[in-house]
Amino acid sequence: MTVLLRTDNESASTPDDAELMRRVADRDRAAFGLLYDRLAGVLYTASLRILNDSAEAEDVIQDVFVQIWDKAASYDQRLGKPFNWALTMTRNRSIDRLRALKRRYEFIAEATDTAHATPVFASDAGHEVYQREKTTHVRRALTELPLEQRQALEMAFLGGMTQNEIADRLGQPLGTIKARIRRGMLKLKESLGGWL
Amino acid sequence: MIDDSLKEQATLYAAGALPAAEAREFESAMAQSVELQLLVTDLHATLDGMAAALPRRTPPPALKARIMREIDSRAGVVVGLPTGSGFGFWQFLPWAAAAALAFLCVWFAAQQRASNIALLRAQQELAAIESQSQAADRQHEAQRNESKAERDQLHQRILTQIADQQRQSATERTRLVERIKELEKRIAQANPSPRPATPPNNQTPSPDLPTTVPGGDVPPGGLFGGANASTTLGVLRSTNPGSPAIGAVAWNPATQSGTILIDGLNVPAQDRDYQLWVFVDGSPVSAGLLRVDTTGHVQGSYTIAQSINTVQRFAITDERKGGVPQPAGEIIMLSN
Repeated sequence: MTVLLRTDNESASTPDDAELMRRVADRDRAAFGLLYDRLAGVLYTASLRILNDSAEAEDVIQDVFVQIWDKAASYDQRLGKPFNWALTMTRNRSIDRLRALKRRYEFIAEATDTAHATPVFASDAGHEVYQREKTTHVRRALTELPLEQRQALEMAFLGGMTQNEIADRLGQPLGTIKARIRRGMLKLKESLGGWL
Repeated sequence: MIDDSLKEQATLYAAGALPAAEAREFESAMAQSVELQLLVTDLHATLDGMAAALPRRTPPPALKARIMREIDSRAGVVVGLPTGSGFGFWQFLPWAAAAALAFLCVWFAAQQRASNIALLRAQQELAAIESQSQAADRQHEAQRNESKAERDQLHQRILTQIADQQRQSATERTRLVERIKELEKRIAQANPSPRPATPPNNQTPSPDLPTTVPGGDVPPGGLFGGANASTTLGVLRSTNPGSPAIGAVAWNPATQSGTILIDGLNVPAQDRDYQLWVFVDGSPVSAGLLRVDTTGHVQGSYTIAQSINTVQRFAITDERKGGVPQPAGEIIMLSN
């Protein structure tokens, strides 16, 4: 495994997400732009995966970033990293919109087929090299999950579906769906270990 | 230890797959268990990692410009009255009409004032009461929200602290295991031939105690080299946080024998002995007395009079000289 160390110069010149949030709270427009560059790709991807509609996903991302601008002052770092906070907002809003549109979440089996795809990264190299290494590791862990476990997990987490709804949709007994989610999540958690 | 059923509920809860009623039940269980809270925190992080690893799609560049415009407008743009040559008489007309209407209303109100004064007072009083009531409601609502936010923040702070402690424990555990391996290696180098088991002077166990005493032969391949899948292995840690004592102990049901290795123990007092116990079905069974050398080191194998297949835990207690049939003294070391 490659060990990546961040140099002092990099850490000094690359503010972390929490620092950017503090600046956004002070109405720093440039910091907001940098935070957008850093998070928008992941958030847009998640929203697009849930909604399968680029226009709707763009609306969600706009809502989320406006919320970040409005609520930055009340953001508390102890409640989680800015990324997790923003992802939770994105996921919830996307699922709400999916339900409002009366559409169904569609699992896309090619989710991890592109395990070696190159993600889009912003310019701050030290931070992004670490993220790329981490992403590659997570994708590798996902490819090792059986497809049916990944499907059940995604339908719950990204589709906002309950275990019963998943069982109905897939025509499988409830116990089977529970077992798939349990096995999938525990295996994934074990595989990711210190990366999370 | 979280049982499998709760572990399954935790995964379903974190993934958002539990129906509302079951989710509420699980939250009640979670409120009682720090271990469960930690598991759910880890599972949430796992799922966030999964979402972050989806094959990346790039949002259109126009989206950023749209959002920046939106926040610029929210920052507040001062809008002044329109100026210019087109702002003439006709544009004043609606204002003039409104002013005239207002004047008429005032005049009419003045005419009716005497007869309506009582009604107006009653309305004012009613409005004041309503206003006070609304203010009280707003204050109550604000207090409730503030209280909830504080509670949530406290909860999250505790979770964060627990997660930090868990990480520290994991690091400490890894360090201890490494130290045990190192000790075993050092012992193997220092003792190329097995040491004979010689009972310590003046340490004859009482008749109802097992007659074996740790300090027997070192098995081939090292103290723990013969361990297999059925062997129970435990890391012994001191119950006194300041003590440097650390050790490892094993029980092999196939050979009905065990091995033990401890470093950093205090030598027991003249009238005391350290006694090893294995816990079987929740009950302690004596595995003999420890022979501690002058450097605080214990090493050797042991057997137990009765047949034992599954050991839950190991413990070492400080007992009177010669040992006791049931533990009575202070527990000085305990396995995981």
